Amino acid sequence: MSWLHTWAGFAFGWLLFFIFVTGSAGYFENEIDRWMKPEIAIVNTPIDDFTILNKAQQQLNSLAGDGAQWYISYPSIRDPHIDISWLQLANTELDIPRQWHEKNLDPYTNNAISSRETSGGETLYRLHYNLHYVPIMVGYLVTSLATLFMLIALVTGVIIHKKIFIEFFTFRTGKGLRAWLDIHNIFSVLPLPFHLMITYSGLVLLMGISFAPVIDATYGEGKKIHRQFYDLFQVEDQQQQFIELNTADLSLETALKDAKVRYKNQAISYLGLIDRHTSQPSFEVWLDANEGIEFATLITYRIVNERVQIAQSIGKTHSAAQVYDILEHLHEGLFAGTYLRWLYFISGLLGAGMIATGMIIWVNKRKKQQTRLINVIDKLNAAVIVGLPIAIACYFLSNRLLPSAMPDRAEWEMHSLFIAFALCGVFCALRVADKAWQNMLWVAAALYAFIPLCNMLTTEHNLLLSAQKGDWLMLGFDLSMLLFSACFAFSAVLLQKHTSKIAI
Amino acid sequence: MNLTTKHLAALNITCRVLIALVGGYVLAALSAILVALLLPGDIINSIVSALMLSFIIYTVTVLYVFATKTTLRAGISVFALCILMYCFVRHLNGIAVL
Repeated sequence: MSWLHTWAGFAFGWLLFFIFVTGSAGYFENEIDRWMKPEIAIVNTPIDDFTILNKAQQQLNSLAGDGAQWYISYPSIRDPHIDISWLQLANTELDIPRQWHEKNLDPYTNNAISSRETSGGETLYRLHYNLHYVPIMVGYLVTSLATLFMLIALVTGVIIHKKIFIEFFTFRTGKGLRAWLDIHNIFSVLPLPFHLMITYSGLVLLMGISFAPVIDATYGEGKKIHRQFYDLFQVEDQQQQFIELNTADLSLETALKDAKVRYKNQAISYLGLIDRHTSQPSFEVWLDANEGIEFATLITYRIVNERVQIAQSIGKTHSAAQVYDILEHLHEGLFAGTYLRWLYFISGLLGAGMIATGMIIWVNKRKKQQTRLINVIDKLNAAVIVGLPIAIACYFLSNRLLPSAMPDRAEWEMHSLFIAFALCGVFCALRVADKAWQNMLWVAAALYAFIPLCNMLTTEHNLLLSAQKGDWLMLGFDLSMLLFSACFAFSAVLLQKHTSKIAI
Repeated sequence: MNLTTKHLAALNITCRVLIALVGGYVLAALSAILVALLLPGDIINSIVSALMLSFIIYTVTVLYVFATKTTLRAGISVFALCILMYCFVRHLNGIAVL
């Protein structure tokens, strides 16, 4: 079992580290997005829902008169800004492709703001299952396989732990390998429920792809049939009723008014106007869910048989879909408030730490062999474990430093991440292992310290101003970067002390 | 002599890894198909439940393959179970096994 634990963990160690770090960053997707769009206007005074609707509709009318769908996103704690988006249908005559547009709305000046082109938080967190450069199916299958190895490593890790409770409180510092093992145990055992949940739910999220042959054999083969299976699986039970409203009066205003009467205490998440180019438009009101782990609830208003009908989902039809939903919500943590979100993030990083310490133990146990291979792996450990944070720092910096009019700018932000990652690999390969670790830690510390500074130099945002204006997301992001910088610097100093002790 | 023992050990490990990964996948998929066919009620519910279960079967199979004394025994058991599952699935689908 010990052998299995070692090798199951080692086989995909670097990839799993990558998955855990980029996945953890996903818990702050919206917050990262806000930082990567410094132009957007922050709303930190409460504005009446109807005022927002009016202002947004004015803009949409002038910008997207022919848009097939309109969406108005209301300010919330995680996204304290108003966004409008619309779907532009394809027009072959004018050679316009079907595409979504999004603009930010400043409610104080009534300006529609375009932010810089950016990959944002979304592309960053998607890395943890699509791996960006490979075909999407390959990404799904490789990450699924790695996750299975993770599950095996977790289960065998629990099995080989005979004194799990005692070791939980054991930390012997300065004892070399022993200390690494102890910290590995702490990182693993403390958030073990999280690790098991995130690993198993991760597998379940992609099960239709990793175990596609099961659907082939039981439901039917082919892409179309699988699609049909998913749609059927996700079917929701609808509650429908007719309401007393004149069909001529149905609009976003009246829908909003009605929804606010029905759900007095729930905040509006966003409003949607679907199929507005047809004679059968529908009006959507999305409310923030205020309990459980659901993300939002949707009420749809449309005209059926000359009367206004409202439809509301009352949950998934299939009980298995309900279980699947729980796993999905637990994995994504969209329901989490600020504190729980940080707990999610920290648990994710502890998972990354567990993998990193596991890789370091693997090398340390074999260091006496002094073979070339072990040496290279030691260097590459530094290139991945410290290199990935460096690469992510470069991703953030590229958002500020790439010229705003650059073609494919968003894509180049992602390229920056991987170029920096590759450079870290080359750098570490050329250095002595101990030196590589130390240099990389200092580089990471410097880069993370530079992020808030770069923000200050290239935009009008800085720590002081963000605090003054109550722009908590911007402030929180910059402060977090400084915190990361301090952590890397601290690790570098610790390592320096440790190596000099050995040298004496 | 030393070299051959080393080679044998490597071969042994390679076989176990293959049995665990490939055999484990086939066994998990076949058991999932069987479970999906056997569970009563709505087929969608059965398939999704079976899919969720498949990872647990996979993990347990891998653990079994590495916990068993000899590689041969692990191989034979996984193979036999796969054949058994396959026959059941064919039988349930109304297809003659042989």
